[in-house]
Amino acid sequence: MFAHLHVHSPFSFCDGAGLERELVARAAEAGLPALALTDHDGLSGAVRWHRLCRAAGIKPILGAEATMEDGSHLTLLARDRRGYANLCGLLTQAHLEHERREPRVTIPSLARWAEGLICLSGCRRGRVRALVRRGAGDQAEEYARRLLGLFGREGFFIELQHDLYPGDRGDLGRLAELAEALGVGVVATNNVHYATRNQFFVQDVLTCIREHLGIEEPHAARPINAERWLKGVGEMQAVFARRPEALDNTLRVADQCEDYEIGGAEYVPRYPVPVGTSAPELLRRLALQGARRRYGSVPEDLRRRLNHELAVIEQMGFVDYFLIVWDVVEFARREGIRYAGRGSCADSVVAYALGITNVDAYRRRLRFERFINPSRLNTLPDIDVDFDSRRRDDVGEYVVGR
Amino acid sequence: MRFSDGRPVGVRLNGHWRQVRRVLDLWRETGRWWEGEKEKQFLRVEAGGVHVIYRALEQSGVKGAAGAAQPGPSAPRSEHWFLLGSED
Repeated sequence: MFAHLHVHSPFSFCDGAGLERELVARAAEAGLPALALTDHDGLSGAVRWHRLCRAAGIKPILGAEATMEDGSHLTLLARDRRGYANLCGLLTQAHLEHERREPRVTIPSLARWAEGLICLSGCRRGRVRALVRRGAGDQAEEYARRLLGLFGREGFFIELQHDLYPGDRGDLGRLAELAEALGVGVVATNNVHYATRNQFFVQDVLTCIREHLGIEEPHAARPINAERWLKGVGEMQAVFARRPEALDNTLRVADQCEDYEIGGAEYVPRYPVPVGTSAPELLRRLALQGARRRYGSVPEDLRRRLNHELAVIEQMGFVDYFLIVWDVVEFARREGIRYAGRGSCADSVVAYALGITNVDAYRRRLRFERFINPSRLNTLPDIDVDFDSRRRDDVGEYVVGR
Repeated sequence: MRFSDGRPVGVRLNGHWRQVRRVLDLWRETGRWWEGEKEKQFLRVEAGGVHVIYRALEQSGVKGAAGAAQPGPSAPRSEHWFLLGSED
């Protein structure tokens, strides 16, 4: 048996070519027990991946392929919920402290966020492998020892990736020797970028788009073959026939990773309410005050509608979300920044009363259930608010500051 | 080419059979798939010198179904192999 620990989805923009559902379906078809997601420098696909894997009876493993300061890659997997939180922290720091679209992870930041993470030494763009290929074995060992020091013997593995490129065979031999010298395990990966071989050309075209190339133009970033598909056990055994322990160790890593919960409304930040009140009370008070301001008085049927909406919002656990959005639009209003709530949230009288939208859902008799439907459990409502583009950064700064 | 248990054991170069002592490397390339070029399999072998040989795979790498073309040393062998070059 075997588990893929290095997989890219379309959230590796202009790189991952197989849809999440295709990748998970292919893993289920191959009978794989676990499946990691390791997109470049982000966890945008994590929630969807988690749901799809769970539904398919596959253990989801959440991770990322981090870009280091020197541009090299490192594969990181969250062992548990703590690790997932740390990976979020690490990647957030990588984005915030570097140029837009150029996130970089540093060794000190790795040290800060290492708890709960498993580290694989990386693909052919990983520093360890690149150094090994250049014949700089001593430097590769030195770097690998630093990673070993951060992640420990059970948390650091040398990644063996054999996607049938020239030089792979030699690289893998030297990497296996390095692993032995360090006393750490090796794991087999396939740097999966698509579900089936016939999706190869999609990745190639995406690469051309990313690198601004015509289809006939050669480029080092373009894949040279169609091997980065989600291979089954038999195909991986054929490639790693000389190193079966690398396949076994993928299960060792998968076993270390817990199947923990992520996503859902519980991850909405709590709104800091004044002492002596609760978030639902505050939202109710604000909604009634807003309704009086909008309508002058609150007739019985309007009150019933507000009560209904507030009950659903509370039942679904979205109270803090509404308060946060209200807080942001209040800031915009105070600062004279033009904004408009749009989309299905315009079907909510509460959103209208709070000043989030300017569409009178009560008089227009708009159906609240178009916005929030209790039958769609745990689906966070989507409140779209547009801000004047000239002042949008001010709003962003305010949100970050809060 | 001659194979035994899926491994190359002999290669005929310039009309003479030479024993394959080691497979030093193997890889695949899809080539110009947009022009319908077939995927190629390459072997770098030590056989009285180091030679790179290749063959076109029957099935194009981008059109085969999942798992249709098996990679690695146990790949289906047949057909014609060609010499790409020899190293000094």
